[in-house]
This record gives sequence, C-alpha cells and structure tokens, in this order.
Amino acid sequence: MRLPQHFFQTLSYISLCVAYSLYGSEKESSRILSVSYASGSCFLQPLSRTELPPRKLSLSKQINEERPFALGTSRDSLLEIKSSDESGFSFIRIGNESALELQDHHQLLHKGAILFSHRHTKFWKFIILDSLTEMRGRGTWMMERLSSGLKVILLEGKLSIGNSIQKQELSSGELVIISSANPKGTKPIKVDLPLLLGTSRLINGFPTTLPSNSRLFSAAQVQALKLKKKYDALVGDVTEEKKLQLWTVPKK
Amino acid sequence: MKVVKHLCFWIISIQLNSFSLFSAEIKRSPEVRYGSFQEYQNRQALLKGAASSSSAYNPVTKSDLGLQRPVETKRKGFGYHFGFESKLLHSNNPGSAPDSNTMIDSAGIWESALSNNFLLGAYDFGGASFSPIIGLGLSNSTHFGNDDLAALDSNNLNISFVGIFQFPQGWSARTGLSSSFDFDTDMSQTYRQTSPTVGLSKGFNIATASAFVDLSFSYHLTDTGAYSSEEDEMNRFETALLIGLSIPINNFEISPYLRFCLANYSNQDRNEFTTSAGLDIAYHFYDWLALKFLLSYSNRNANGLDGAAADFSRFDWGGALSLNAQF
Repeated sequence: MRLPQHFFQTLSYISLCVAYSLYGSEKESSRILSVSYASGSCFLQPLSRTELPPRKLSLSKQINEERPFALGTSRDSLLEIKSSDESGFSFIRIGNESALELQDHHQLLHKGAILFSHRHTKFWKFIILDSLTEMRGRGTWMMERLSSGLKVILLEGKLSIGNSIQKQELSSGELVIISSANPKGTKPIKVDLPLLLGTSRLINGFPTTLPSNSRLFSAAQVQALKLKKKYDALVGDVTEEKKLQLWTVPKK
Repeated sequence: MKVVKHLCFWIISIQLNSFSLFSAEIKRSPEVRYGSFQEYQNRQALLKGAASSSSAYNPVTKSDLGLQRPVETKRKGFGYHFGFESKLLHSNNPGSAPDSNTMIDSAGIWESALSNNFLLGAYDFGGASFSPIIGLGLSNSTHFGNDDLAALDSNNLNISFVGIFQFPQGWSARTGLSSSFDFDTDMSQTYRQTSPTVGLSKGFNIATASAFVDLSFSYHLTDTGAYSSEEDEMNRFETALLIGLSIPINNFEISPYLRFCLANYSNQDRNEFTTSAGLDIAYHFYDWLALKFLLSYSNRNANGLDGAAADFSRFDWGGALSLNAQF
C-alpha cells in the first residue's frame, strides 16, 4: 500500500524542525543567561525597542531579553553574567564604565573591558568600525576597547583570531591589538601573567573565583618558570597615529 | 636536611608572589607568587607607584584588565640555577657527639657548598604545573681551632632528581631520588646514602611574609663501609616536618625555621626524634649576592637498645656569603 504524499511532506517538516532545534545553537531559547554578580549600577538596554528605558540588573536575575540588547555598567560597577547552554557554562565579566552590545550574530564592545571564560570551544564575532573579527577558542581571555581597536589578552586556553582570509593562534599570556585594518591582530606580545592576574579587577574584583582559576594559576606558574626577561614598561593604549603606548616602570 | 631546606625555600622563591590590590575594592590575594627577593621589591615599588592617585601611568592603572608588562619567555622552560655558599661557623659540638661524652670540644667549621640545579622544563597540566629538576651539589667541611677534630673534615657529593607539582592555593607535591656520598680528606668514601622521597608542601602569604609547611617521607638506604660492623645499619625511614618563614624588610630577609624528624632504623633497635631550629638573617646586596648571619640548634633524643648513646645537642652560629644566579 502506498503512503499518501502529504505523509512524506509532514515527515520532512518534522525532520527539519528536529534538526534545527538540535543544531541551531544560535537560538536564544537554548541559552540561559543569568546575573551571577552585580555591584553598583548595571543595566540592560533592549536595542530592538529603543523606546524602552534601560533595566537595572541585580543578582540572580535571569535575562530573558531576546537579542539584540546591550549590557552596561556605570563608574565603579561590575557585572558577571553566567550563560548555560548545551555546551556547558560560560562567564562574561564586564568591568566598570563598559558597554557590550549583543546582536544576533555578532558582538560590539563600545567601551571598557570584558572577560570571557568558557571551557568549551565557542565562536565570537566582534565588529570593529566596518570590519569583522572572528574569535574561536576555549579558555579565559580579556578584551578592552581602545581608542582605535580592541586589545585582546589570552590568559589560558587557546584562541584563534582573524577572519576567513587571515588568522593567528594565541597562546596563554599573549596580547594582541586588533584594528579594522588588521583583523587578525598585531604580532603577539607576551605579558607578565602573574602581575596581570594579581592586578586585574576582572579577576579579583568579584567575590567568587572563576571556574578556570586553577588553570589560570598553572598558566601563570609555567610562564614564571620560563621567564627570561622583563621589560621596564607597561602596555597602554594605541595613539591616533597607530602607535602602541608604553609607560616606563620606575626602577627601585 | 640542608638540601630539603634549600629546596623548600627555592620552591617558594620560584612560586608566584601575592599582591594586594591597590584600591579599596575587594582585596583577594591570588596565590601567584614570584621570583627573587629583588624582583619582589621591584614589584612592590611598581604597585605602590601605580596605586598613588598622582601616578604618571594613571591611564594604565585605570584599566580593569590589570597591569600589562611585556616579558620574554623561553620556549621550553629549561633553566639553570647556580648557588655557592661559604659559611664560617662556631659549633659547641661539631661532631654531634652524644651528650654522655664528657670530652665534647667546640670548634670552628668552614663549610663551602656549590649547588647546581637544572630545570628540565615547565609543563602546564591545566590546573597544575610540573617541573623536573636535576641537582648536583658539592660541599667541603673543614674544622679548625681543635686539631683532634680534623678527622671530621669531609667532602660531600649529592646528586638528586626531583619532580615538583605545583597546584593553586600554595600546594605543591614532590617526589625524588637523591644519592649522597661522603669522602674523607683522602677522598675515600666513608658513607653513602640513597634516599627516595615524597613530600607535600603548603605555602602561605602572611602580609609581606611568606611561610611554608613541608611534610616529607624518605627511606635512606645506607652504606657505612668499613666504619661499622654492618654496612646498612644506618638504613632508616624518616618522617620530617619543616616549617619555614621568610620576612622581607627592606634589603633584609629574615628566615626562621623549625624541623621535626622521626627516624626509625630498620637494622637497629633504635628510634630517634630530632628537633632543629634555626634563624637565617640575610642582607641582599644584589639579586645574586647576600651576606647571612646563621643560628641553629639541634637536639636529638634516641631510644632503643642501640640508641642509648645517640642523644646529642649542638648549637652553631656564624656567617655566610651566598652567591646565586639563575639562567
């Protein structure tokens, strides 16, 4: 007996729905965002409905807003968002006076500094002016908005930065500057991990340690054991002439 | 014991230093500890300067990322640590003679020791680091001020292999094998000891000071040669607890320590409990050069049929010049 044609159409439709729900991990319904720490003034601004005022974020509040929306912090404020999806947990820490825009398929860091920590490989796309930089990897890494570009530091794990034409792999303790003209970033500079971890508010300004704390320790410890030379300078911003600022460290 | 104490202080010195945040925010010192004494001082000066509101590099310190200081690292992490120390001591019982011996003479001791430690890489195990180290040490002891004690003059060769695992929160574990050879002035071997060891350490930060507690278990396989009726009569199992503190004050470093050791002899009816306490006060001229004042007191209580005459106590004091270099 031949089955009716509409049976096969229905079966195809059901198969497509099942496949999309399994593999369409970009859908918000599969990701749960909640506020795991908030101090000072932290808020969420819906971007699809800009007539709505920003909503204050507080501890344990679940974020049900559909993308696009922006997360922001005022002066002396810190925010930590915990994201859970099929691949596991990830944490986003937002520093003071920062603004992070989360669009459907990309992100935009308008100002300030953020930290990402995720055990499983994740894929991020950041817009810098008119160009797109893709970041794929797992671990703990930080990013800061500069006057002309983004500064990215990988603390532990692996991170690949670039686009379909050119990319580079970072290893722990490496810092790169990304600009619209150079989406894969500058040649990496190794930075003093123990000093960075000891002075970073994105690490120490929060009451709880990151799940990757032990991996941060071992990455910093191994770097200290491999240390050859330290420069008497601190990395700053990038000038309008595209030059990296270095501040001299006074000798004792 | 000297090798263990030196290794423990060296482990602490190559661990990462703790910092307190330079602002009024939540201060939680990470367990990362750092380099040498001079590096510690340079870092403290850097953090103090960065903390001042009129700091010249205020834009850098405003960043939530933290201070980013460029460094160069070795690809594989192979390293070499060289140490030389020459001590001039006075001991009231240089031969560690039993208390029952009424003829104990004091004497001066000149000890010179050369140590070479080869770091065979540093490996990240994603939560713990591992560093294997090969050590080679040579030392020489000469007694003066008492001709009768010239027989105690000796040379020592020590070879060791240690694997150190370092974990967060200041914990570290080590396992190793060392061999020590004693020679008289004619370079005839008088004693040999091979010791497999496992140890567990915990480091602490107490304000600007660092402290550690180390528990170790060793079995000493010995060969006393012609100096005793049984070659292996000194075979013993030792359990030792070492507590040390390092307090930096300007260019000074004050390091008191306390060690308890329980030894159970395999081929003798003898158990010993040894307590050692000491104080090292070092003045660091440079990263590589230090002058030290040393005090130590040891007391051993032995029991058992073969331990009756093994109790001793001794008090040593003196100074040392120490050279260290790391490559």
